[in-house]
Amino acid sequence: MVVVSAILLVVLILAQRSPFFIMGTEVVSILFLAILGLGDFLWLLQAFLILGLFYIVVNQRGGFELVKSLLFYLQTANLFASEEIWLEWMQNIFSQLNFVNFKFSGVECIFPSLASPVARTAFFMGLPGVVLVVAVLLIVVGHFLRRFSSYVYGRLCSCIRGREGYKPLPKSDGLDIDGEEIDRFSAQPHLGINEDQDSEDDAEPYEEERTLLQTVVHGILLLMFTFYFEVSNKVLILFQPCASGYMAEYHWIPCNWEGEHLYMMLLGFVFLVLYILGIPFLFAILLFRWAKEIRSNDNEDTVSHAASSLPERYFGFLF
Amino acid sequence: MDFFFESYRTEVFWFELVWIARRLALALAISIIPHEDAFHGFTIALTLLVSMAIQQAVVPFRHNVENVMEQVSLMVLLLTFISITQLIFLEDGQLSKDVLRVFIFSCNAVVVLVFVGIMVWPYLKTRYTMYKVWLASALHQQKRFMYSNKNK
Repeated sequence: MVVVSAILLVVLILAQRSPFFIMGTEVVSILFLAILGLGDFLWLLQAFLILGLFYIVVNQRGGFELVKSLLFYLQTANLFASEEIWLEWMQNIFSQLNFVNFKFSGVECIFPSLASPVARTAFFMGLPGVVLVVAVLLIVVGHFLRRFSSYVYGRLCSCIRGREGYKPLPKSDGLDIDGEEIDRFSAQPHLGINEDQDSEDDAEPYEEERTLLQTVVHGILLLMFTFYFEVSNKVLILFQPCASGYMAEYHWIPCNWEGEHLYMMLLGFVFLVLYILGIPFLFAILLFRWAKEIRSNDNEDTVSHAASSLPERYFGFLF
Repeated sequence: MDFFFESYRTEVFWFELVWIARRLALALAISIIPHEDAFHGFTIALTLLVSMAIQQAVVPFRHNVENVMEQVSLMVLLLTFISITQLIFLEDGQLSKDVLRVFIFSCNAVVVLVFVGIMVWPYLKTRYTMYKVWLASALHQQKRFMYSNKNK
């Protein structure tokens, strides 16, 4: 399954420039996901679906607002679901939906050193940092893989068609569908519709594409944002008032500011500053650093669209 | 950087910070205040209500669909939380408890499906148009080829 997934992934990356291949790989992917769903690979299916959704949303501009709302919704609903009043299958679904819940039950079996509460807490607190590093590496590798695939595809096209004998198609001439639509899509070289651009220059990424640095920063900020709620909960729970002289989360650790309790509190304070205060502080600095630029790039159309708001009409009555 | 502000109207480009404050308030209410404390539920409900009021008053997102979805998700969260506080007092096996559980779970499932549907819809639309254009291009090329052969 893993080999098939890897082959599919490579084909998908290589096929980005041809609609024929895109259609083919999409059909094969759907069939593959269906097989996963029917078999004993539900976790793989879940991972694919989440990755697929993430890919779709990341690759379309302006789609993040819904992801942010959905993420907050799922994380909060998941916390409510842990109140143990749901039926077991309901609780499982809530838990499965929240894919950044940091609940690694049984991790001690793989790493016995994580059995102690201090090591476990340190592991969970350090995990977002590790994920950030892995994400950055993936973005960098993905970027170079994509450039390489563009180069290979450009070379292949040149070899098959030949440089001299090929004459490009005129745009939207006598087609049955709207010419404007074709022009719009022809402007996107990665769709492989504009035949003019199947030359050596094609190997270069097109102008509007994000640079590698932008993608890395984007990925890091997105991950920080994603982790924030869960990590905050994990850190803050350490500071819950002690019940009968023992920690609320770890009932066997006495609150005496010695040994394990002291280490837990130190870890808590470090990650309180690093995550709970650090992340909003970083976001605030970044936002106000670019405030002038943001204001100057104002898009009147979308702002005026929001002015005639639907919630005003419907939810006002509700309130 | 556009991740932080592109969703919001320019006048409230900093609004992400308000939502982060909301997350922090909820995390404080859930994690710091013990479950048996009277303020636990009160603080969670208050945070959700204040969020709804702010969303209603500011309408921060650029597009209506996002504003509506944010408001709807907050409403369902509040409904879920209130239901949970009621469910605790009902005994297992009671019909009303099971009905309420299924109803609240269905509400949540519908919200998630609507979210996913709205997110995936532009992608499906783009793909459909892409295939349509590609097919038309191919047909056009074939027509030209046939026409040129005929002339020869």
